Parts: sequence; C-alpha cells; structure tokens
Amino acid sequence: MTTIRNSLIRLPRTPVKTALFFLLLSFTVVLVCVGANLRKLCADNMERFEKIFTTIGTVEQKPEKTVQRAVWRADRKTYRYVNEPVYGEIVSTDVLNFEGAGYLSGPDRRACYMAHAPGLRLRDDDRGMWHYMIVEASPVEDCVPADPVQMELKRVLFSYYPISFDKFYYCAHVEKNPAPMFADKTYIMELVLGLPHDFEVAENPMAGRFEYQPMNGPCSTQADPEGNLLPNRLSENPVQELVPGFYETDEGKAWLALCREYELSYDSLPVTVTNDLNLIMAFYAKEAYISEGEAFSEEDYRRGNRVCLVPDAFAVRNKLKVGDTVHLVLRYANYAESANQGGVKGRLTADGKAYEPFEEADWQIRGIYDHTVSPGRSEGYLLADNEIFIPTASVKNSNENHIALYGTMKGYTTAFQIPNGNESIENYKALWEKQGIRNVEITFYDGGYSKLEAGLKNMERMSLILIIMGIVSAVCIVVFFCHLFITKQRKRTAIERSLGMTKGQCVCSLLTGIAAIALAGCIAGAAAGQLFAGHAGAAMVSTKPYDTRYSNGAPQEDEEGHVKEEVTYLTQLDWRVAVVSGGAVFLFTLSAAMTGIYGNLRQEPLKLLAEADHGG
Amino acid sequence: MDKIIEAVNVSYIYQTKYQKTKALSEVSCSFERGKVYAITGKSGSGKSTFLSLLAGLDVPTEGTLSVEGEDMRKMNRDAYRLNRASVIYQAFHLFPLLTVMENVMFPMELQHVPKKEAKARAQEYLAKVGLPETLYKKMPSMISGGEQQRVAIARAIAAGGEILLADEPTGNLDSQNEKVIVELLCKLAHEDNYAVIVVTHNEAVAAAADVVYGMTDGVLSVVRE
Repeated sequence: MTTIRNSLIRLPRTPVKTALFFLLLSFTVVLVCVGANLRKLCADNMERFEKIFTTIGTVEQKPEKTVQRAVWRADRKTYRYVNEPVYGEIVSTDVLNFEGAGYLSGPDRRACYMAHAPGLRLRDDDRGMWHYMIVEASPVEDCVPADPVQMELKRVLFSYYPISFDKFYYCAHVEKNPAPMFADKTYIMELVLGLPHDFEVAENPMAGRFEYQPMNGPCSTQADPEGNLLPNRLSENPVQELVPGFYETDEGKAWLALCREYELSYDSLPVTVTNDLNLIMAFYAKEAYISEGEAFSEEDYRRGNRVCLVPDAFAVRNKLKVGDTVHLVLRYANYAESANQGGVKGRLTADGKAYEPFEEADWQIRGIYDHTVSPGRSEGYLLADNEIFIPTASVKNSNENHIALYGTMKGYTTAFQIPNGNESIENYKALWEKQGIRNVEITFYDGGYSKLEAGLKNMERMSLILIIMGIVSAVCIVVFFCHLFITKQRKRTAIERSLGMTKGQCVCSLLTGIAAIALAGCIAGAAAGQLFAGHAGAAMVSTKPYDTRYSNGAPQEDEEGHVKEEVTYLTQLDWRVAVVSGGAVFLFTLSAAMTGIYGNLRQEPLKLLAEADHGG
Repeated sequence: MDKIIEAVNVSYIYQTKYQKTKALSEVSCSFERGKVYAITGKSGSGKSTFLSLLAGLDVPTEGTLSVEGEDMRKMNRDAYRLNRASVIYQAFHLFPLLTVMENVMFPMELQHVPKKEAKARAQEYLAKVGLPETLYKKMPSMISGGEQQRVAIARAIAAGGEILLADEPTGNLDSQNEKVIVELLCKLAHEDNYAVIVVTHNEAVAAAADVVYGMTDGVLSVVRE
C-alpha cells in the first residue's frame, strides 16, 4: 500500500504529463470505441439485413426477333398488326448450372399444373367468366361469316353458362375470307362470346348484341420434357362440318375429348410447384404473404411433404382452415406460363385425348396466404385466382407424358437465389457472361440490399479507419508515455532498489501510476466513445428511406406510385464493445509498461545507478 | 573488535556486450562498527564499485564479501539494503517528486513502520542532521545541495541500519557544508556506532576518517590505520 500511495501521490505533482497522458489515451480509446461500435453495428445490421433480404435472379429467354402478324378485323374490314416474338430453339435451364454460380436456391423452373378439384367451390358465381361453348349449329341461311351471321343452335355439347337461346350471332372475326357456310349443313363449333360486332357504332344493327367468335378447335401442344412438340394430326379447326358417323372418327373423338376437357377444367384450379416460395415474385415482394399458418419449411421442400398454401378467398369459400386437406388431381403441366396466364391453347394430348390424372392425393394446408397487387406488375407475375402452391417434390409421379405446354424460360417461371450483395451479383454476372449465352437475360432483384450494403460497407471502412487510427495513436502515445513514466525513471528504480525495495515492489511502484492514469483514461474514453457511437448510430437512423420497386419489406406506395420503404437500422449499442475497446487499450498499456519495467529491472542496481549517474 | 563486513579477495568485472573491465582486483579488508573509513583514489580506480558491492547492489565476480560472517551471495540483499546498509550518494539521489519529509519516511514505510511513527522519526532525523522544519514539505529541487545531502543522510539513518556508505558525499558541496557533513558522519560512527565507509578523493574527508584505504586500478591498500 505504501508503494502504491507513494506512486500515486507523484501523479498530481506532474500535472501536465498526467493530464496529457489521460487526455490522449482517452482520445485513442474514443477512436477505437467509436470504430469498434460502428463496425459492430455494421456487422449486426448486415446480419439482420442478410436475414431480411434475399437476392433473386429471374431468367428470361429473349426472342431472336419480332415479327409482325396481320390480324383481320372483320368489324373494320382492315388488318391490325400485332408484334409477335420468335424464340427459335428453347434454351434449357441446364445452362444455368455452371461452376461458381453459388446458388442458395434454384434454379427453379416452376410448372403450373391443372388440377381437377371436384367438390371444391372455385368461384362465388359464374359472373365474369368467359363464355366458352361447344355447340352444333347451322346458319339460318347460306352465308359467309365475314360479318355476323345468325346461327340456329342445334345441340349444346358444352357451355359454361346455361343456354337459354336457340339463335345466336357468329362471326369468323379474324378471317378475311372465311369459308362459306350452308343452311342445310350442321357444324360443330368451339366458340367464345366476344364483343358485339362494331359495338361502338350505335346505328349498326348489330350494336348491343352478343357475338360469338371461333376458338381453336381440337389441338395439342403436348411436349416432351425437353420441350419438343409432339407431332399430332389434330385439325385445329374451330368450325367443322358434321357428317354422318363424325363422332366415330378420330376428329370427332377429339371434339368429344375437348368437351370433356372443358368439363374437367370447369372444376379445375392451378397448382404451382416451387422449391422456394421466395423465388415467386409476389411472395418475394411481399405482395403475397402468409396470413394464417406458416410457409413451407426446408424439410417440406426436401422431403416433398404433401402440404400446400391456399389463397384466403379460396379457404373462406370452402370453409378450410390450416391443417385441413385439399384433394387434388393433377392432370397436366404448363411450363410456359404462370398460373395467371394459364391459357393452354392445346389442351388435348398429341393423340387427341383429354389428359388423364398422373397424381392424385390429399395436400394438407400448411398456410393460407393473402395478396395485394402492385400497380405496374406484368400479368405473368400476378397470382391467379384459386392458385395453390405445393413443394415441387410433393409431386411424386413423373409428369413427362403430361406436359401440355412447354416454352422458353420466363421471369415468372424461372428464378434462383444467390447470396446477397453487390459482389455476389457482379461475380455471377461475370461468370454468366463467360457462358456466352446471349439470348438469355437474367434480372436481379435484391430489395435494395446492394444500396444498404454499399452504405454499410462505407461505414465499415470508416470504422476500420477509426480503429486503425485509434490503434496507431494508442501505440504511439503509450510508447511515448511509457518512456516518460518508466524508461526515463531508471534512476528512480535504481534509488528504490538501493533503498531495499524488491523487484516486485519496484514493479508495483512504477506500474501503479501509469496504470491508474491508463485506467481512468480508458474508462473515460470508453464512456465518451460509447456516447459518440450513439450519436453516429442516431445519424444512421436519420438516413433517408430509399425507393425500391422490389423489396422484402412491406411495400408502401407514395403519391407518385413508387414503392417507398423505410428501412430501420439496428442502433442498439453493445456496452461490451466499450469494455473490450477500453480493456484492450488498457491491457496494451500495461503490457508496454511491463516491458519497460522489465528493462529497468533487468540490470542490477549497481549498473542502474551507474547509468543514472551518467545521465540515465 | 566489532567486525561487521569482511572482504576476502574480492574481484569485480564489468562486462558489457563488447568488453570486459576489471574494476576490482582481489580486494581484502574488513570494516568495524563505530569507525569512519575512507577509501581514496582517482576517478575510475574502482572505489565506487567497491562501495556498491558493500551496499549489496551487486555481488563480487570472484572472492567473498560477508556481513557478520554471512556470504553476501547467499543472503537476501534486498533485505540487507533495506535494514542494514544505507548509501549516501554524491548526487544525493532523492526522489524529486516526494517532499523532504516523504523522502525520509520512504525507507521506514518500506519497513512497514506506522505512518505516524515514521513521521515522528523522520522529524527527529531531520532535526538531527540540522535541517530546519520549514523545509520538510519542500521538494528536493527547492532546497540547496547541502540541504539535500542532509536529507539523504537523514533518509540513510532513518532505515535504522548499522552500515552507512557514502559515495563522495561532499563532492557537490561547498566547504562549509562539507565540514558539516563530515562532522555528521563522524558523529554517527562514534556516537551511534555506525560503520561509516566513505569513498572520497577529498583529503579533508580522508583526514577525518579513522582508517584510510587507497584504491589504485582496483587494488586496495591501507594508507593509514
């Protein structure tokens, strides 16, 4: 105690040196503490954002060219021109499997299945449905249906709505020179209710009347798993003359199959398979969200558990809740479009039959989702009515003979997830560039993570500079003051030794003073550093929210229609950072002091005094 | 005869990284309580080195240095310096950041003498060396050289030892102060039974000693006994 007291009472007797050491050491601890706190805040925020954000890439094969197709408009007696993309050979998803891609999920090319779900209510009423029908009819008189002609209904093979009329108007709307029709003949026709012919011209006698237009007729777009169209001999004629024994022919059977297909599709709903819900834009953008229950687990995806997510309206309509099961009969797959587009033109197999089920089972409802629609989202990215999601692996049987439509990769059918961050995206882009596939475009969505990451990286660099400055200045200051407090005190050590102090007492004597100032400096510096770091954290909070179209946060629209998201940062400081920062500088000071003291004590007092007497 | 220290064939070599210097060569002598010894010689002759060995600041390279029959190498030299031998230096070697009083109390505090008692004894020793009370709270740098040396002597006797070693104690003093210090050292030997060993090249100091040794190139010889 005497040694400690004697050491401490000397401190106020060298006030400038003591105060300077205290202040400078405090300053270095402030630098280290602020730097370390900012660095930890950056790391914490990065970790947090890493959990919140995901980076997905959507894949889309670009058309080789666009061609203009002339489509006749019977009402105006003129052509209208529509641009149609020409894709050439379908690029396989295999091109995405290159070395170094580093996928976290995917690439996931989703199929949308048409699932027959008898017994489930798929709509509140039939209003708003397109009116498709397959009928047998004859023209009232011989005619060319280049304009609406009156037809007499003979027989209804299929109709979405109950038919209460015996005559209707028909127009081969898009054909400039349709084949003539004869009153003494009966035709089978696949029709859809269209707009009234020339409906906007009030004096036109057709204005306000219904007009049916031809559909596709029996046709098939069945493909193999590689996307090759299977050859078929179907007529693809929406209007065909009935001859005796017609329904016994292949063509007639195909017409009957088409009717059956219509009947089945009336009670069918779209089922989309996925390996990661986040790869579906609506879920990624939080336009769709789980309102009850939960999303699929990793295990659901891995083991292919028969679980599903159903839309809220569907669940309400059918009084379903989480845990209930939905019986689904999967019949055919569509790899070309999303469920919302879902119009498979050729809904028959290549041999002209309706698709038979290839998988039938109960899927348990794991969660119920609800969704909103963001303005500007293209049709393919929107969710369809009654769209059910199931894990890809929950479909156990092969669908290879049940692919009704195959097409190029689209952003809404093909996606993958890679690690977050600009570096990850750039790395992927560079590797993709090396693959040399020019007609496939990849678009990344990271919810603004890159911007946040860039901001945090800047802050991290700043924090590193602060830490380095703090460490360098701490080293300089500690070394300089250790020289003043210890190395230059050789004479004192020599006298103390000559007066009989043990080496231990000498250590205590020299160390106490510098340790006391260092301790005070480190505590003060750590406290001040924590305070400054708090201000820096608060400044981070005041960072302006940023606009992003696709974000994982709950999107909010501003008056200009941009999705505005406010990102909140973690600003809670960890007091342990201050303790570690201050503690590290303090320990460094002690170790530097001990090194100096060891140097002082290494020599015998005789030599120390000799050195001291000679100016030491 | 009250022999307290005995040196037998003591040699000491200063060894640095690059050279060896033989500072003492087979020195043999003894010292008794109640006498003042002077060791004279030119600068660099080895007399201060010998004094340091006597103070237990190091041990001989060769030979034996014993204190009341106990070999210096085997004894606790820290305790020896603390309790039995005190050194007075030409440069005083006071602690510059401690007051006069604190300097004198210092060895007593190391001996765990209660503060109150240490203070009382320090006052007694300071009075004994003739230092006015007004200087007790001053820093060493604020008093004269003679006064500083008196403080150093007070600190030396405050340790309560029996051997007082002085290295050119009057080297930095004027003649008046020199006389006071010499008288003080003689008084400590003759009245308080200290063995006082003074290294000096001052003839007046040597004249006051009971025994005078001469040191030439590390070799000790008796000049006057």
